[in-house]
Amino acid sequence: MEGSDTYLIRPNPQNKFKPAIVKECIREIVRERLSGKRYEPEEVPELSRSLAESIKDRVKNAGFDKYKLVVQVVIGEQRGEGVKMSSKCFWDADTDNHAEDLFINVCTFCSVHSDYSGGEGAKFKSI
Amino acid sequence: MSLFCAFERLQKIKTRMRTCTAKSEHRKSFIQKLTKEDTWRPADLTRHIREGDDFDRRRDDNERRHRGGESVERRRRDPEKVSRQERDKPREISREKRHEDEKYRYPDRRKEGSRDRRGDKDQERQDDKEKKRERDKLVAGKRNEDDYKRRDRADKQEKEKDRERDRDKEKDRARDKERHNEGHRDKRGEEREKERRSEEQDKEHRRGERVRMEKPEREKRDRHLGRERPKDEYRDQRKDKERRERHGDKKDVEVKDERERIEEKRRHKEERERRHREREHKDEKRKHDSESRENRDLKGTGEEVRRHRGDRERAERDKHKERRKREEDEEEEPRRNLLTDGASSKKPASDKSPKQDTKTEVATDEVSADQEYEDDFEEYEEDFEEMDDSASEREDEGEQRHPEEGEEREELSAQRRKEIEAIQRAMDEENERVGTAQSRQTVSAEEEETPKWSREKNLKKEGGSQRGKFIDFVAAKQREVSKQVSTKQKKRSAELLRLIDLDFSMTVSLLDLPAVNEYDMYIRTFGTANTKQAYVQCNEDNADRDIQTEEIEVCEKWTQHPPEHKGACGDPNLSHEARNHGEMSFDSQRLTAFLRSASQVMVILLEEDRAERKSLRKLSSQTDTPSFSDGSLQLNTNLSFLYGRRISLVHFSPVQRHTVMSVHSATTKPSALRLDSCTVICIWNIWEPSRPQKVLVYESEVQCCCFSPGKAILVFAGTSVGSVAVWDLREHAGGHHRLTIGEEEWAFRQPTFSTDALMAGSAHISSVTSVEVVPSTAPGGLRPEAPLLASEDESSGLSFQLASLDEMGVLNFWVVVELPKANEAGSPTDLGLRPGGKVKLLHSSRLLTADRVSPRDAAETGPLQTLLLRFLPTDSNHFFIGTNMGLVNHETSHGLKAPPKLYRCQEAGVRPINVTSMHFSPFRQQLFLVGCGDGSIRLHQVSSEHPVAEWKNGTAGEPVVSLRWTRTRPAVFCVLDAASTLHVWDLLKNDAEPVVTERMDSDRVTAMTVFGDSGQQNMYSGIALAHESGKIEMQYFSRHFTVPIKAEEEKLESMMAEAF
Repeated sequence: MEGSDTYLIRPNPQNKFKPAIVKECIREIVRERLSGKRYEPEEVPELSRSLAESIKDRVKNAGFDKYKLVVQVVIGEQRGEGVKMSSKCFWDADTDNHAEDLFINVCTFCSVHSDYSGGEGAKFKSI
Repeated sequence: MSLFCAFERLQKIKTRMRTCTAKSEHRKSFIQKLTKEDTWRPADLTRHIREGDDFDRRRDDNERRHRGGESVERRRRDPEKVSRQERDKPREISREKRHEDEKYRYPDRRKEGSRDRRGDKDQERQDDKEKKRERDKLVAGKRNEDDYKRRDRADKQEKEKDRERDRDKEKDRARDKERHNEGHRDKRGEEREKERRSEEQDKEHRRGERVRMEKPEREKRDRHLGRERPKDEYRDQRKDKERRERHGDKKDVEVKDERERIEEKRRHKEERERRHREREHKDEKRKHDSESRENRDLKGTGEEVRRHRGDRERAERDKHKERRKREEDEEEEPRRNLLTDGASSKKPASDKSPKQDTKTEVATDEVSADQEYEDDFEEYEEDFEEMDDSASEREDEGEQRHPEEGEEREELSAQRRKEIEAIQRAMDEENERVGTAQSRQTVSAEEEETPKWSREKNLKKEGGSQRGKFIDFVAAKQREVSKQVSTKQKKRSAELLRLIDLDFSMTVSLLDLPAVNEYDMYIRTFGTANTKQAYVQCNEDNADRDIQTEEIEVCEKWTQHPPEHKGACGDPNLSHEARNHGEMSFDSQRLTAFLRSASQVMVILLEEDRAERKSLRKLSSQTDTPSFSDGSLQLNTNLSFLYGRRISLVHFSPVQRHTVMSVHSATTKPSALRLDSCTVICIWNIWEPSRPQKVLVYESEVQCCCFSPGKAILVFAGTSVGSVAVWDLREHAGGHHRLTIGEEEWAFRQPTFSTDALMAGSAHISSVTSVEVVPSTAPGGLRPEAPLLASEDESSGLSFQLASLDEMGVLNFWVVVELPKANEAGSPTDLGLRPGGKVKLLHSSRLLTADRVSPRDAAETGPLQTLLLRFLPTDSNHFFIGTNMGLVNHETSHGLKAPPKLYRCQEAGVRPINVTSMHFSPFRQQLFLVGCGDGSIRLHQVSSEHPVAEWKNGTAGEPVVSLRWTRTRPAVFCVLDAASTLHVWDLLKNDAEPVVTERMDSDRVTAMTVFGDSGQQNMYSGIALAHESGKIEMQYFSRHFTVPIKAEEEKLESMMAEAF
């Protein structure tokens, strides 16, 4: 309450989130990690977690400064059932963005969705 | 402020989360109370707590006491009221009951005790106080009254202070117990222990400041003491009660004191309550984290430990009591004596209480688990509460206490001081120990075996540990920090949200994987990867189907009866037609051949049958049958075109013996037919007498005629106009003029070839008197018999010559030529050939026979007329010509001289006599008969000029018309004279005159010929007679004229020999 804070609301244009790059990151990682794998129910939780972690790390290094990253990895088994996944975010459309990629194996599908919603926190600079 | 808000929210959340069970209501009320207090500002709160609350409550209590439990306050502070009410109710009841009937109070209480321990305890506490007072009074009363009074007062004051503290402690304990009851007794115990310990530590810290001030110290000491004392008091109370029960009369005295005491008690209680709360919160906040940890650890063993501790506590309490007694004894020697009785009686009472405790504990244990969670929250809240209040509160407390303590201080006696000091020491020790033993959570079994004092200490420590806990400052700090951060963030977010527009992003479809349909699933399962899709086709579907009914073949055929054209059947199909055509051509040939022969046979048979019947009829009816006849057959000449015609000639085929030709001369009678001027020749088959087979017509009169050699297929005729005509019988009837006469159709055949159109020179100028086939020289006797029926060798006889002799003595030779192909249009060169005809005559040579007649003879007899031409059957070069001079010239075709030149009668000289008939014997071919116009018959031998025999009156002067040798008998010949008399000669029987002379006057015979066959099987012989009426009669010779006799030829031989 002691004086109005100053905020940096938007990221630098060069640091703005670029879905293409992120998508490429995701694609690389997912291809590398998942290709040729079969769906093992025991392994999948750990796998998805580690996937999400590694994607997050990679994207962090991609230089989107003011962003908070949310990575969601869903791995499922393909046995003929229909699957519908969608996401919706409450965000600032000017700055925040998302990238997703889909990897489908013979018996596995993996949908990675990274929400790079900057949120307020990301743009917070100083009080 | 912000913290406050947070708390508020938290509490609200927690209250929401709470369940409204009966048991949890106490807690709830407590919390709600807190909530209410929390909403206030700390300063206000403290003030309120100190003044208003205190006051109110006191007043409330007072009011309650007076009005029986209704207060204004209660309504205002509802939650508190509820709890308090609950707590108070028993008290009130007991109080009222006490007034009325104290006897029953105890059991009631006991009953309630297990259910509501707290209320019970309160009651007991009150009772305790009362009893104490009573007891004091009793003691005072019993003892030296003055002394007692004095001491009593001091004692009383002291005790009241103690009691005050006790109550304070007791209340704490009660609250502890309450908590225990609600669940975490064990944890609580520890908590409290820690609290106590830390509190004490705090106090000791503070004590440094307050060293000068005795009162706080004392207070604390008292408090410590009090902690043990209530139990003692409790027991005392019991004792008192018992005692009171025994000495019920003391009631009146009590009533007075009671009110005072209660007032005081209330005041103290409230004060204590407040303080306790403060302390509690402080401790708990600090300890919260560690606590929870401990709780978790201890939960498993909680129950057991709890019980142990409960027991130990009790034991401790007892010991305390004992110690205290000891102390008291030391202090109050005289009183102790008095109390010994009580002490003795106390024991059993004290025994009771543990039981009670355990009971309640057991009861509460059950609920504990349920309430743990809620308790946690409670503690949490309490922590917050403390946070708010602690700082200022402590000071306030301190201030608050001072006056009280100040008051109390004065009342403290020297005796007491000592006691307090001792207690203080113990406390210090305890605190130290607690500090060190904090880490040790569990109590080892060894502790029970330690010496009494140390064990007491341990137990004390345990008791302490049950009540107090270390405060976890770190957790609190963290919480604080986090709270600060959150508030900061909240603030920040509030500010930022104004700047940033948040909106919902478009719904991003991450994955839309449609359910696999069955086909895809199948393909995925069987169509890829490890499995291979194999198709197996068994041949089941390739079944053969048989149709049982065979397809009906349809073929169109026609047939006709009788067959009109070539085939009797056929079909419209061309190929069939062609095939049929070929077949038919083949068939037709065979068929016609067959039919022809068969029909002939059939017809002959039929005719025979008919003829036989007729002849039989005739035989039976007619008697004019000639004597030589053995039956007769009549040719049916009763035809319209033959009506009125005279039969000039009857001629049998030399080969086909059954074929007969009759020449019907033209008639002068008019008839419907235009054939009147024509001569009609009928060809008959004697087996088929009903009708003529062929009918030939010619415009001029036919003088002579003959059949072709071999088969009778050609008919030659010489006419009066000098022409020679040839009929080809093979020609189809269609090509000729046909007439339908009556019911039958007749084909009147014109001659195939006639020499009419031939140039003069080659043709005859005068009438042709004789046509004769030049016999092909078949040396060696008779020709073989021609077959009866028409045969294949129809054309065999076509290579032959024909000779024709006219009156002028011109002899023409003709070659019969059969053309290979008929020309329907007619021949431009052969004018005599009929269109379509195939047979023609080629003139080959011409001979003049009349020239040879000597002119001397001719002068005498007139011009020589050649009348008859006969060829020597054995040699065709020799021919004999009968002349009108009664002579027969012997000539050869090639001008060779052959003796005799003439054949004349016995008489010399030449007379003009026509040679009318001349016939070679079929058996002896050098013999021939000559019939003359004067009725004389001569038998000549070829080699001799003169006759072998001469019968001048053979016919009675009548000219001989016809003279024939019979076919079967060599010595028999028939002579027909012009008087229609038939003479049959049998030279064997009679060589001078005929054996039979038959005269037929009724119907004159114009022509006569013989027929017969010398065949072995069917030998027959007969004579055909042509009547004037046109009737042709076939008379079969009787047997003796038919069957040859062996002597016949010898007779002839002898006759010839006789002649020469």
